[in-house]
Amino acid sequence: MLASRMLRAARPLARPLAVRGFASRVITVSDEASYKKLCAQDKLVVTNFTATWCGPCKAAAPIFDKMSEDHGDVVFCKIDIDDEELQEVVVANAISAVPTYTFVKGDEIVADAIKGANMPAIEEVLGDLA
Amino acid sequence: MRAPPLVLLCLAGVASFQPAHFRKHGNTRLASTADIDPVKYDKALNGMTKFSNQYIKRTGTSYCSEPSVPAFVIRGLAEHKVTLGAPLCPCRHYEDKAAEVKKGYWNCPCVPMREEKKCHCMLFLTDDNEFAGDSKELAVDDVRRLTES
Repeated sequence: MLASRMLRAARPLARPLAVRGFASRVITVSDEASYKKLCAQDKLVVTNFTATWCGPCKAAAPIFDKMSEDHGDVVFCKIDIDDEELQEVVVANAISAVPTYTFVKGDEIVADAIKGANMPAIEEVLGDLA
Repeated sequence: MRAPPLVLLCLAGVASFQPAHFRKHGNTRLASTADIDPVKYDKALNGMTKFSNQYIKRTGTSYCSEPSVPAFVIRGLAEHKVTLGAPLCPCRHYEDKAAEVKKGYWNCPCVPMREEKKCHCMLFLTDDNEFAGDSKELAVDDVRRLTES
């Protein structure tokens, strides 16, 4: 299962290396209160749970940045799972592995979380919900 | 495909365009290695790079074609080796890292890697993985260079 997820993620991971010259709209969340405000909006909020020394997270980050540019009506943010200020958010979202991507709108979960750098799956959710 | 500096450029771009009110704390973990005893850290980084090079050959796996991916993971393992005493997988969240180290399940090489050659961190890739490159060797200087912020 894990292998197939990673394989599905493989194709798009090569793409971001060619992405240049765009302004990322990804917000780095610094505390729980800020995150709650973001999630309360009547907009789709995609959260990238990431870690500093996670290789796949680093490789997927530029694709996530590009997605933020392509979907101006969606809020994109990222959370460092080792940030002490955000431990309650990480636990509340049951994050076990990184990267994990969650989808919230108006404080409601609107799609299943995606575990692993499965960028096509994220695009699919955005296509359905954005 | 092989363009490691671009990944870092993209990452730098993320930081540059963060709205100011969210930028206060930033990614505090990037600087955390500076808090670690540099002698111990260098020793751990050397050790984890050597371990990875040996293990990859022993298991017939390969590094990712994008070398910054394994470099970041090796750096994370080295940091955990110094701070926790064991190379706990840096691609997972633990409520209690010390307890996880004692359990051993996620100490590299983790149980899924040892039993099924599944590395969630993409450090050790089997040949059928589209990410797999040709490299089975990383120099410790490359690990440092590729992970410099």
